[in-house]
Amino acid sequence: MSMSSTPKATLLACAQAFNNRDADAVVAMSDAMALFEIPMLKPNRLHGHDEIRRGLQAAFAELGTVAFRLDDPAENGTVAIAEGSLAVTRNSASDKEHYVGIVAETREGALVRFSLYLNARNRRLWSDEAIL
Amino acid sequence: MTPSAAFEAYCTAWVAGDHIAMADLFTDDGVFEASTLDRPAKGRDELLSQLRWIAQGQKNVRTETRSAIDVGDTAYIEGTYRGEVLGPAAELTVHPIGSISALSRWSR
Repeated sequence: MSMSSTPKATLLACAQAFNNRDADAVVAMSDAMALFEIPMLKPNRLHGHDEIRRGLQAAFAELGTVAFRLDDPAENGTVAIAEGSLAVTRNSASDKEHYVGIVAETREGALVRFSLYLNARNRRLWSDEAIL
Repeated sequence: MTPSAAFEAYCTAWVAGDHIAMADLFTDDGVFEASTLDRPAKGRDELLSQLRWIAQGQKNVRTETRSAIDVGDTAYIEGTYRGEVLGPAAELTVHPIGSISALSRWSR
């Protein structure tokens, strides 16, 4: 990843690296102190190159396919935000599709924070009533 | 008013527990969509009813906007709210991200 990359380009490149299940590519575009927040991982906060590489490699090993499909991200000087979906196929053959929001925060072209948000509706539907 | 300014005004009204001020920010055909709702609230009457429940069903609401990006008529916003839900629940923390045109909430 070029150090002159925009937040939008960085977000899209990171999503593509996920689609390729390429943990090394994700690490290569990340700052040494980068933070990844991905709620479906355990642990769901990965900090620094070593944790990010190990966490993503472990996740990708369980997945047959990963497919982010994102709308055109919005961006300012340091942050890009995109909405879309994340479809995964697990090696166990169960498929999942999540509606997601992604925030990519950059500094000097390097990814310093990647935060994945899930639409909570599917989880809310597990309950019997509306939360609010 | 920019979309992100509308969102900040919404948060200010929410913190104040003022569901009428919240509803006043919407157009007559405005839609409030949230993953915590069974279905979107559409139009003035539904908005008032739903927003009253949201505004008065919690206390000590605090909001924090971390990132806000206006793109035309839409704001992309990352932030957090915390509130004490009145009734049997304890504290609810939601990290919203979404667009004011159809105000939506996401969480992690």
